[in-house]
Amino acid sequence: MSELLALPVEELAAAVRGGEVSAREVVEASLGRIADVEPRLGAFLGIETDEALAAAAAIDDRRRRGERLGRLAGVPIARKDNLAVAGRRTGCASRILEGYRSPFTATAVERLMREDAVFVGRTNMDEFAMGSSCENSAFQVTRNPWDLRRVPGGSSGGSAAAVAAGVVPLALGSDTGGSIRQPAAFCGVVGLKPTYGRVSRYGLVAFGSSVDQIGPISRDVRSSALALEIMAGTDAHDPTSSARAVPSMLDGIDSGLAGLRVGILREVPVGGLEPAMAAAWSAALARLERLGAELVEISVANIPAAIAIYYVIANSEASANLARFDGVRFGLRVRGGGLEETYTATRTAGFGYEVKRRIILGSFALSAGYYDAYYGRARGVLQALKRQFDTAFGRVDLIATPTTPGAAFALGEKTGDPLAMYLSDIFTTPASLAGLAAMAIPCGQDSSGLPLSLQLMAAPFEEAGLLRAARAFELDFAWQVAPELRGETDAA
Amino acid sequence: MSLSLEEVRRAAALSRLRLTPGEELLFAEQLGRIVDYIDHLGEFETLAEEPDPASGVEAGDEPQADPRGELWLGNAPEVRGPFFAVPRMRAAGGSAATDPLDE
Repeated sequence: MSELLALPVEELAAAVRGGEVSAREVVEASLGRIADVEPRLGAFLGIETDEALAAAAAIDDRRRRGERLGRLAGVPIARKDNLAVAGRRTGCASRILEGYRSPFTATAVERLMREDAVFVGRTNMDEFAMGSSCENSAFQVTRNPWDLRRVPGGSSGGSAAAVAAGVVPLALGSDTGGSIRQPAAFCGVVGLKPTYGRVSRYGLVAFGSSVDQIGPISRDVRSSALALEIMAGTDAHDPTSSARAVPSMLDGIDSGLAGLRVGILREVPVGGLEPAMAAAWSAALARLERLGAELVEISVANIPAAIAIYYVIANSEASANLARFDGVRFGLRVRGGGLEETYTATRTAGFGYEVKRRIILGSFALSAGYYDAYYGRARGVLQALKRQFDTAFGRVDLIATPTTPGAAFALGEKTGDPLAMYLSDIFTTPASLAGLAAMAIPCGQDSSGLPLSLQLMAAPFEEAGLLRAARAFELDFAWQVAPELRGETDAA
Repeated sequence: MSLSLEEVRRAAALSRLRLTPGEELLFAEQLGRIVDYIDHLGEFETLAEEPDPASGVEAGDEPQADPRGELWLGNAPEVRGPFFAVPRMRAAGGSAATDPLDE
């Protein structure tokens, strides 16, 4: 990996601003690394070489003219394929959006560009963000840089793999039930899901509108903090974005976690953890305590219902959100005998199995005769879950869990059993449903060297405290290992 | 438990998706297992939904010129002038069954 790309985002941008390195050199290093590892990794669906080099040249020109450069000057960033950039492809890793070029730019992306970030490409994902392994992409498999025979997690697997492999120091993902945190965990990097409403979702292709959030993936906590600080804040284009003031995410981030009360959930099924994860979890709790946190046992009784709530509510919303893909305004069209037949033929040809399965499940849960038993009940259990979290956060500052029950699983291991795949999100869905802020940070490795991860959750809009605790943990754990892209692949 | 084939067909039709007979069987089995899992929701505490303070807030509904109009049209599979073009609601010489308004 290039030494430049190993730098934290703030240091890399400072080097560009100070003229120690040009934006072009940084972007060329990133593009060179992509060319080197991509045949084995498969993290990118599109590499935007011309646009990236043009953006870098413009930044270098401005520096030569003595103009002020932004906080992300020359920093190469990858974006998940469900985030729009004007004039560029956005495809959600789906055949139904083949050829689509967005007329507008996502607010989160635009805010990063305004600080002179350079977007280098769009990363692979599970189709329409529906999956936990990146294997549901219509186009390619992405491999885990720590072991190429394993999944990178999902649905933001391409973004996590790209960061872990040293292609970019920062990538954007989206998280509906764990789609930033779970791949960050499997790839040994940091992933942050902000509070629902903290970051505008304008320009994010909708999946589950009551739970979707955009967030950063990076190798260190400060880089994610900086990205969040820039992206956060209200946006007239997204009525669900919060008008709350955005505090600095970096001020005080290095002040430690002494005195914080960290809740440990009675409902976490520690017996269901892989042995290495169970050991890493115990060690993480001991580390938090040694750093000065007070561990407090708490209860959020509806946590074991989270997966079931999630798969009713998110898929019901998906069945409505994905109704727009019908061959009329964009993407694929397969002509049928009439309009109705064209809709059906287009959707049948354009969507993959997992997307069809989830749309059908959502339509079933919303249909006459089943609505009260499924959607209505799930909403009621969710309301109780939110209330239970409110009560818990009256007693603690943060809640800790493992991010996943174990390390990255093998490619193909769970593709035949959708329910088993869904259950890999068991620790991440509660924070999504309750609209909390949550992040994944590395906390260990199993005997094969695969990363293991700790999840920290905070009450809504308490990202600054969350980041402070994550930073203290990171500094003490001193995670410095970089993956070597080992393991045989079909492509190798 | 499996979902019945009739339940799968009905939900697929609502979703504007066509399944092969093999897919119907597969989805009936897979979705049945998922629905069984979801049925455990009955064991948990529920609360009535509180009104969302944000709901009922209406954005202005004033027509605005969109300078990106041509870009929107540029992604369409078929356009005629400034409009998205679609197949006829009723196929040429088609029966009422192809027209959803007649169903």
